[in-house]
Amino acid sequence: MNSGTLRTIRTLEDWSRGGSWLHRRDPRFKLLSALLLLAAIALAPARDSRGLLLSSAAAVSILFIASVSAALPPLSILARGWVVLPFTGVFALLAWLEGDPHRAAALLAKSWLSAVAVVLLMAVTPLERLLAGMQSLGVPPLLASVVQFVWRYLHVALDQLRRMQVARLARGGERRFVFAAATVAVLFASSAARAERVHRALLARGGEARFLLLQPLKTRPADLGLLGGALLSAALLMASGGWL
Amino acid sequence: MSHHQPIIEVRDLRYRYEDGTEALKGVDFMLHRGERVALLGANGSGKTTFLLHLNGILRGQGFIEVCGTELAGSNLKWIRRRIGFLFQDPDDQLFLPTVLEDVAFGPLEQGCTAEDATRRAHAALEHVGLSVEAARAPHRLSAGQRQRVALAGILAAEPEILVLDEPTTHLDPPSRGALLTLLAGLPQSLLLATHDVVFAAQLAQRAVFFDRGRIIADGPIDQVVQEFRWT
Amino acid sequence: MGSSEMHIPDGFLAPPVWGALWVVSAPAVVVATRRAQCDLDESKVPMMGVLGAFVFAAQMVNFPLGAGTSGHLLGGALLAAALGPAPAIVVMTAILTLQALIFQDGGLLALGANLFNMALAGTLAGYWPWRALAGGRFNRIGLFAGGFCSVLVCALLALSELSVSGVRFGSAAMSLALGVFLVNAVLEGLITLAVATSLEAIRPGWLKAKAGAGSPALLLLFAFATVLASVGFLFASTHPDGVEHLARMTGLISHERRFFQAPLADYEIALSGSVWIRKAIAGLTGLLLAAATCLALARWIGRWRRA
Repeated sequence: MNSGTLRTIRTLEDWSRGGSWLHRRDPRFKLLSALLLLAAIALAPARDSRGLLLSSAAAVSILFIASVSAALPPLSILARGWVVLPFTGVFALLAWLEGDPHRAAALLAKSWLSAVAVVLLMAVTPLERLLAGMQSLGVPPLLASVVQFVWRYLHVALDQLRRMQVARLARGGERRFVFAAATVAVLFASSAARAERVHRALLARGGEARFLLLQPLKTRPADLGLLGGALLSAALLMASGGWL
Repeated sequence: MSHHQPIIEVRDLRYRYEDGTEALKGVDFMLHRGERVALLGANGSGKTTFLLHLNGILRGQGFIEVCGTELAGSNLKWIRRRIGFLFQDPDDQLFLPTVLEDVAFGPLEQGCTAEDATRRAHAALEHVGLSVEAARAPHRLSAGQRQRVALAGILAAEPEILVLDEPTTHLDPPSRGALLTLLAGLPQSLLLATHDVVFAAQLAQRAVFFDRGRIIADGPIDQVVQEFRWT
Repeated sequence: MGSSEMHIPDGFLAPPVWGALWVVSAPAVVVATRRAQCDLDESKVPMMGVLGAFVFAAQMVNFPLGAGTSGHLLGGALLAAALGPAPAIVVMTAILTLQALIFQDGGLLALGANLFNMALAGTLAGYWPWRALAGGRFNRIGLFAGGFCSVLVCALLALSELSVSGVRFGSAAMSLALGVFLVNAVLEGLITLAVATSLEAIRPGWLKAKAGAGSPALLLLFAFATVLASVGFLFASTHPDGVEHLARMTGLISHERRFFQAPLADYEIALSGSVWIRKAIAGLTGLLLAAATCLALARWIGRWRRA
C-alpha cells in the first residue's frame, strides 16, 4: 500500500466533485452512456490494422473531447487507462509470440480504452450518486449500502494497516509470512470491534444505516441528450472499425 | 416537568457481561437540567458501560428515567432523540460519504424534509466552524475536524442532553481547545466521561468517581479530583 | 493491486461469454442479498461493510514467500467462514464492484464474469469444504481446503472463460498458468488457515458455525461438484472436439447446431471465429447443465433426508 495509490484515489474523488455540464447529468444516464461506449469499444470489429487504428482513434477522440468538456485534464485521464497493462501485457505478449501481432494490438487497445471510459465515468460522478442511480435501476439497497460502507471504511483500514506496518518495522521486524498473517488477523479483530462500535453509534443516532440523498435524482432533457451523444459515439466507433 | 425534577435519574443499576463479570454493581445517579457532570475513574471502572445504558444500547437491571420517562424497549427511539451521544472515535460515527450528508442524517431520521435537514445541517456546521468542509469526504479531514463534524451531527438533531465518551482522546491541543470552547457555549445538560481532568474541570462543576462498577464519590469536581489524587 | 491476476479487464471476453455471465451473476447476487438480509441480525450493514473494508485492505498485504516473491489474500473463504455464505457473497460483490469502478481492476462489462468467478463460485467453493469439516478434528484442514478451493475454482473458471473467448493458450502457457494458480491456491489455503488461527487466539469463537444445516458429506459433494465443473469447463473449452464428439454420441449436437446457427451465423465477433464460438457454447451449456444437475440432486437428497 503506497501513497501513490492514495493520491490516485484522492485525485479521482476531487475530479468527481466538479461542476461541469457532464458532472451535473443524472448518474443513471452517465452509467448507461458509459456502458454503451464500453460495448462499442468491445464489439467494434477490428479485423485488420486499419479498422483497429480507426476505431481506436475514434474512441480516443471521443474520450478526449468528453474529458475537455468536463473541465478535466484529458491526458491524465487517458494515462490512467494503463493500469490494465500488467494483465493485458502478458496476454498481448503471448499473442505476439504466437505470431498474431494484430490480436496483441487489439487486446492492448481495447482494454486500455475500456479502462479510460470507466475512469471518465468515475471522474464525473461521485460514487454515492452513482450508487444511488444504480439503486434506482434495481440494485438491492443492502448491496449499495455495503458498497458505501466498504468505501468509507477502506481508508480507515488502510490507515491502520500502514500504522501497524510502520510499528513493526520500527521494532526491527523483517517481512515474514507469519508476521503478515498476524497483522491481518489483528486487522480483522480490530475491524470486527469497530463494526460493533459503528453499530452502537448508529443506534444512538436512532437510525438504520440508510443512505438518503439530499439532492434526489432528477432526469432532465439534457440527460437524454447525453444518451443520444453516447449512441452516436457508439455508432461512430462501430462504423470506423469497418462494420459498415 | 418541574424545575427540580432531574432530567436523568438512575437507581440501582446493575449489569453483567456475557461471561458473568459484574460491570455495574448498583449505580445511583441524578442529573439536573442544565448541569454539567464529569465521570472520572480508571479504565474498566464502568463509565462507558454506564453511559451506554442511558440510551438503551445496553440493557441492565434497575431503574432509568430520562426526561421524565422510564426507559423501556418501546420508547428507545424517543429517548435516543433526546440524548446526543458523542463517541471516542469519530470514525465510528461518520459513516456517510460527505460531511453535509452525515450531519443531515439526524434531522432526516427525525422526519425532516430534505430542505429542512440541509438547513439544519448547514447551521450546525456553521456552529462548529466547518461550513467550508460541507462537501468533503470525512476521511479527508483531520481527527479534530472529524470530531467536530460528529458533534455537529449530534447538534443538528437538537438533543436535550449531551453525553460525551472520552471525546478528547485523539485530539491535539488546538482541537481540544476548539472543542472546549464549543461545548462551553452549549445550553444542553452534559455528561462527560474523560481522563482529561483539566478539560473536565473547565467544563463541569460536579464530578462522580467510578470504581469497579460503583460510584464512590459525587461532589464538586475539585474536591473529587483532590480526594483521589486524580491528576 | 491485490490478487489482480484474476480480475479480467474489458476487451478479453467474447460478448456471449460476458453477456451470459451477467445473466447468471446478477440474479444470483440479488438472491444472495435477500438471503443475507434474513441471515444476519440487525447489525448487518456495519459488520459487512467494515469487514469488507478489511478484506479489501488485507488484499494489499504482502505475504513474503522467500526469493523476492510474495502472495496475496483473496479472502472469500475467510469472509464465508466469518459471516456465512450469503453475506460473504454480498461483501465480495461490493469489493469487486469498487475495484472495477475506482481502480479499473477488472472491467465493467467483464464484472459479471469476475463476480461469477470470485464472488459467487469462489466464495461458495471456499465455504463448503470449511463448513463440512468445521468444529471437528479436521477444522484446520477445512480452513485450508476452503482457501485452496476458492482460488482454484476462480482460476479455472477465469482460464476457461478466456479460452472460450478465443484467447489461445499454447500448452506451455497453459501449464505455466495452471502451475501458478495451483501455487496461489495453496497459498490462499495457508494464509486463510494462518489468519484464522491467529484470530482464534485474539477472539476465541469468532467463526460462525451455523448449527444444523447440511451434512458434511453433502457439503463436500457440493465442493467436489464445483471443482469438477470448473475442471470440466476448462477441459471442454480447450478441447472442443472432444466435447463435440461426446455431444454427437449422445445426440445433442444436431439439435445444438440448428439452434446456434441462426443468431450467430452472420455476426462476426472480433477476436474469435463464429465456428469456434458455436462449439464453445455447446460445451459450456453442457457443462453448466451437468453442474446444475449435480447440485440440484445433492440439494434434493439433502431436503429428502431432513424431512
